[in-house]
Amino acid sequence: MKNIITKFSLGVALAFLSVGCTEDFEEINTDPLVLDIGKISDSPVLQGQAFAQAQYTGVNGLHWRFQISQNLFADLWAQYFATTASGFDSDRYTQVGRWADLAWTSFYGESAPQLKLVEDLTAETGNAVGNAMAKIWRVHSYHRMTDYWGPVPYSEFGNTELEFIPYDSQESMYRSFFVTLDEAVAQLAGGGNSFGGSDRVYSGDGAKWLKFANSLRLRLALRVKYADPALAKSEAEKAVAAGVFTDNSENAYVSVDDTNRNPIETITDWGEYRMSATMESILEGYEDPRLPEFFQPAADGDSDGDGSPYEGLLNGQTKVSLETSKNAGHSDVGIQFVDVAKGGTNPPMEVMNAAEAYFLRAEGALAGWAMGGTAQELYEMGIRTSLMKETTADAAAIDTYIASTNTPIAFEAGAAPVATIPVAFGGTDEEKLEQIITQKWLAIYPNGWEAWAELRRTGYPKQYARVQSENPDVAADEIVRRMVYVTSSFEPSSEGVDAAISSAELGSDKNNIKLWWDKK
Amino acid sequence: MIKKLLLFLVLVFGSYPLLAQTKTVSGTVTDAADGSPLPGVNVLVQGTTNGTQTDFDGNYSIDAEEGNVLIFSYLGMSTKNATVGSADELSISLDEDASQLDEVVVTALGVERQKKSLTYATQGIDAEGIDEARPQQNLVNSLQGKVAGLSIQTTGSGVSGSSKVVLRGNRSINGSSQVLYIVDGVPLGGDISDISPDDVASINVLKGANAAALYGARANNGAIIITTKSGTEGGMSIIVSSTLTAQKGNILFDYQNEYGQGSAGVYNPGSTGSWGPALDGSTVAGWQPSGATSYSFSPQPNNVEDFMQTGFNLANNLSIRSGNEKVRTFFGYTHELRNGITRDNDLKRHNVTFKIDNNLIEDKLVLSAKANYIRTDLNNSIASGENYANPWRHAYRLPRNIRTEDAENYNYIDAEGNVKQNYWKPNDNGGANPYWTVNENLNETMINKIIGYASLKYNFTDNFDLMIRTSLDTSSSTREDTFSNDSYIIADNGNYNTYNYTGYEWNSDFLFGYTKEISEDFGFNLNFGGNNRQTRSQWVRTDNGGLNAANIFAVTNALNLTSTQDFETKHVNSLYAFGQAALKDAVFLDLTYRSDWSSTLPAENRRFDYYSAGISGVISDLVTLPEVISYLKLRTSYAEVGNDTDPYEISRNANLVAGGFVQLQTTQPNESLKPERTKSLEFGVDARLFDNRLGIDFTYYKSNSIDQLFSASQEVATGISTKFINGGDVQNKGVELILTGTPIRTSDFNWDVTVNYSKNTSEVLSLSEGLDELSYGGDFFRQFKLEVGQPWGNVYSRGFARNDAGQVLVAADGTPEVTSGQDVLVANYNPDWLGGITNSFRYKNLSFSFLIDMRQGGQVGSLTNAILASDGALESTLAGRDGSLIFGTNIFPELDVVQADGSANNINVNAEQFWAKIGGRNSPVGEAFVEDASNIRMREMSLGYSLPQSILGDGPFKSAKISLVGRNLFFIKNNASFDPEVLINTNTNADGFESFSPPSTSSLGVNVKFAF
Repeated sequence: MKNIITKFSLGVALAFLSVGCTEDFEEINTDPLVLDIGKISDSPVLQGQAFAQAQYTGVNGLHWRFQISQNLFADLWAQYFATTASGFDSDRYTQVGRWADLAWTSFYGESAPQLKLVEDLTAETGNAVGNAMAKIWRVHSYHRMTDYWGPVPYSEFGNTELEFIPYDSQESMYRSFFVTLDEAVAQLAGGGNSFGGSDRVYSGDGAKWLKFANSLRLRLALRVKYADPALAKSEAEKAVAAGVFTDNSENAYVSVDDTNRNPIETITDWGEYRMSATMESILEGYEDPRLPEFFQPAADGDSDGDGSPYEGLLNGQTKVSLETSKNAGHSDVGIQFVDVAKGGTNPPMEVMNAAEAYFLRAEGALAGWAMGGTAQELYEMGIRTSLMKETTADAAAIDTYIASTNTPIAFEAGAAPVATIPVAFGGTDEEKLEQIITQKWLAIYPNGWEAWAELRRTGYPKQYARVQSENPDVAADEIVRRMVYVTSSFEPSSEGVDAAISSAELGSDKNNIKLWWDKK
Repeated sequence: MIKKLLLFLVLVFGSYPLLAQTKTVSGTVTDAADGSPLPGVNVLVQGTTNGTQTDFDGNYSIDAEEGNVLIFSYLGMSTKNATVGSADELSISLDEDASQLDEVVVTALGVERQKKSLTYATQGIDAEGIDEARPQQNLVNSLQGKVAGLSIQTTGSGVSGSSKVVLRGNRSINGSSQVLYIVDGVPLGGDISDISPDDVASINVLKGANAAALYGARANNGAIIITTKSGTEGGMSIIVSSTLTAQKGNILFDYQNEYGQGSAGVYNPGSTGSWGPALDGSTVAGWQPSGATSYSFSPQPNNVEDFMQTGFNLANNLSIRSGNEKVRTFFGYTHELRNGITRDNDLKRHNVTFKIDNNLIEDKLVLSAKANYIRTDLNNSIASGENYANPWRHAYRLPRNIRTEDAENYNYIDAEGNVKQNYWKPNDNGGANPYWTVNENLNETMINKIIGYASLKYNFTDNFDLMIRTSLDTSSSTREDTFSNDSYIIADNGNYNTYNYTGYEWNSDFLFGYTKEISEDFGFNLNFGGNNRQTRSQWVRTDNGGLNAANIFAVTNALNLTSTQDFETKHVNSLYAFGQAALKDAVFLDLTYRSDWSSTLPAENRRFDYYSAGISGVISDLVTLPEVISYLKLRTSYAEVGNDTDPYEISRNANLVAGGFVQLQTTQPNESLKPERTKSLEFGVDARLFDNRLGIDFTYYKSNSIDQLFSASQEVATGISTKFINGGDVQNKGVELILTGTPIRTSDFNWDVTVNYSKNTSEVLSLSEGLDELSYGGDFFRQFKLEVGQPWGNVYSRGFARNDAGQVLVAADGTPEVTSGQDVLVANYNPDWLGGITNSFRYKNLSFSFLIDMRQGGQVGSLTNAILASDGALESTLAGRDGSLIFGTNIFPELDVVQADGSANNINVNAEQFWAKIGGRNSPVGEAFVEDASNIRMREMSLGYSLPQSILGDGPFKSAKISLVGRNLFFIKNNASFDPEVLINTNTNADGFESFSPPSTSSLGVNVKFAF
């Protein structure tokens, strides 16, 4: 027994030898599960993984983030979908603050910092190709942000030296986007590869990024068409001359995997939205081959007796009417977008496609710009490219569709068709514009973020009025023009956002204030 | 290590001595003043639980051995000891006690001190009876209403659950304001929820930094010191006790019973609201998706209550205390079964304790060791708040016409042979039949925990000693969650999650003690010690993200497996010294000094020092006071304690995210963190008046917690969302008053009263430069904010929009205009004061006591009520269903409501539209759903009867007692429509918010205890 006691005492005494000894404290206070930031600057692979994070979060990859930042706002306001959840006020034009807040903080908190880190590190290490990719992605990310809100923090993002971060005007941002794209294009002139497989868009292929940069320039050029026609023309022509997307093989996607999925795959399962009435009117009226790809027949079949099992729901349903579930009576999204377990494919997240580039060129050609084709040629190529991407329709079927004089139909008995334009190109310039934008709206589905921006810029496609608007600033037959600033943009300092609100571009912080490019 | 220790314990326990011869000793106890017999005097064989009481004539008889010491104690009398000699009779007389406060209390580091020498506030809790009126969830709940300055809020987690325990107000912005628990000198990493009440010998509450200063970095919130039972010299005593209690849940929400499912007065079997037609008993279509059958549309006033069952707890305990001069051992075993009021929410626990004290070398070396093993099996712990897996979220929302017998049929088999959920609104994201949730969303937790220590104390001389000790609190737990297919959750075919945790807190200490009496009038002691603390925790969680094959709950069946992991470790080394000087045994000076080195702080700030000083004087021993004052003591002390922070807060890293992502952490660390400090000043008076009949213990305190470590949110465009900073000054000041009195003391009847009262006022004096508010804990309902110049813990929510004149605005449709953000101060939970009154009566062998617990002031916002209002389930939604509501007139008439043009509101609106606007989940108007948290309740009641010696006679029992016990029996007053003291969790920001907590329970039961 004495032996045990001696041992025990010895043990305790030994334990005390460490009192006052703090040599290993630094090691103890090092988290073994995370990465020291210093290691990222030494490793292109880790930079690529940081870039991948900026890409995935830059299009709101995570399911609930995607829902609250895009699906509950832009997707409903662009009328791709109508909500069936009674508590989702955003379809009645209420900007639910907390959701919008997360849209803001998830970009600035989760995407922008990695992007800046990668851009800075690639500049420091002389990785021109990787640096160009980061720049292009920066332009893509921030044009989305300014298209939502208007002035946002941009040029001084990440500057911790300042008292507050000033907001850049939308005009200055768009002007600088073109300059940034110039720089990126110059850096990519020699092709090359950076980040390899970590790059979720093009696996590091500099040549493909170059074409994406040009196509993005084209999108941005058309966006400023009504605000600065001369700039729009010169940038669009520069883009087309340099070479934009012409084939679906060039489309930009953020790839997904089993862990980091396409958020639509997950949120569809929650049963909170269905096809909009506007969608039904247009797709059914056009007898569009994309209809069965974009949506499924309603579970209850042809409930309104129009001969088609595809049923759309008017947007802006009242809380009370949604107390009765509308899900079974209306069409869910196409099978490709549903949960993998229910037959979905977990498709990659589309950033921009070739059809969009054609429609952008068609709009430019309509304005008389040098777009490498006539408006009609480019419009038809846009449709063709989209149908080839979305359907298995053969050339003849596609030709038939392109020549079709079908027009949208009433989504239910007693309603008017949402619009009167046919597929076949023609009519006044304004009608042609409506055709181009309506077809683009279909071709970029389900990219509601972009569709809502173009809806505001052009007023197309025409939409059914909402059943109800709860927003005193935006009537049920009007469209929301921007997001109002979120709580976290006022905290802890509101100097930046206050200046933005009182600036000439806004004047006040409401949902009905038109952005700088919204001048039509 | 543990193995060796256990082996060692068995060895020592095995060398157990033979029992000595016992005999029956009897005698009479009288009052020395007048020779009258004293009934109800406690007689105890020293070091055992073998005890009895004198009867009406002052007679007692007890089994004891020759050489045993009998202790005779009686309130107001000096305790006397007498040694059993060869005679069988032992009569004694007791003297009135001038300073009964000579009691010994266990203070920081386990140091035993005379209460009268203390310079700071502590409050001892009578541990007797806590094993009878057992708390439902957590041992600490036994202290509810008993300790001045202590606020205890429970969490609504059914049979298990942690409590939020705060002394003298909240102070820590980022960390915890909760007390530190010490059991037998072992600081626990967690709480005392699984410590067996049967093992507890005494509880002492160290009220603040002053008392707890020796615990250094963790002392700022005060401490609760628990001493468990030890073995005793002289024979063996065995206690067997058993408690069975039944619980009933209390549903307090005000449901309406006039209208059922539907909307706009039209029946809709798929509706989650009760805005349909009147419940007139007419026949309507059933809601069952399995094939509706018609049924009678009639009120179901009990459908929420029916969801509960009667809960019961069964606790059985066996304890054996034994020993001789050399070795003393204690063995305790408690087995507990708890079945909650929520179906299938149950807990099984085994709690085994071995404790040994062995005089290895007589008067020189003592070895003490303890091992306490606790195994807990917890089934279906209840998810809190708005979690979809919380069955109460669905039960409270039952439409008013849903019959229990229909809802109970929670599943059916569909045409494809799949088990589906029977719910009135199939596939509604976030909705569920509560009976489905409780049967098909299950979880199982197993916790293994060991608390133990081993210590050696060596006396170099009579006045110089050394103690070394190592102690461990370690636990591991595993948890599985299963969700059956067709649960409306974010996963296909059901889901399966696992969670594995291991962690420990390991402390090693040494302590030198030196005591010296220089003269009869002056003595001092000096102590020097050190501590090494190592904590470590790690967990791994997996989430199947859906299942491939439905309802097979295995990691390998995952659809989209994700796993997360956490690891934290921290070391703190400390050295400390403390001493006390006593002059004339009446004036005492206390000094402490401590230095800590923490691994969580940057090298240059790693060490932090603090000290405390206190002085007390027993005035009644120094000067002659008027006769009415039997005892008077004044005390004051000042303490500064520090606090470090969590691990890994001083460097910024990047997280590795599954799938090949690298993500920068969004918190900007602070490379020059300084430790937090709490400065605390207190002043107190202890007095006994009127022949010790009335005792007063008064304390005033003021504490400031400065240089706090917290993360402040940054403008996100800076690229960081939060920044870790040092700053802030949170002040708490207040008073605590404890009155003890004996209104009646006659020979056959005794009535004791203890009253405690405390009032705390908090104020956030500063946060950080340029920062005047800090908001955290946001959800759909509220933001929890700290604001400079305001009390701690303001709750902000949406409110009614007002014009410049302060009038409330109505929209054109008759519904209220609502502020767009959560920018209206609607509640602050902190009470104006807390109080408790315990009354104890004793008549011969019969004892009765009850505790009334009071909380005055403070408010709570209720998300449940906001949702139930928009559901049309509450009585408040009955008015105006015909469209006759006029905001400000017949609804919220206390508000002055005007239209946009300033004219008085006369716009009619119907109730459904009205409540949809201000209630619901996503954007409720908190201002409309705030309730007063004041309440008075019957916290504890106990009626006990000890069988007199004359009945026990020569039977096998030394004593036998039966008690009827009740807890939380009823509210004497409660303004809220729920129990305002139940939280969704114990986080700092949980105060003042109610969200779908299970009903609080009242329990009633019986305890029987036998001593052999």
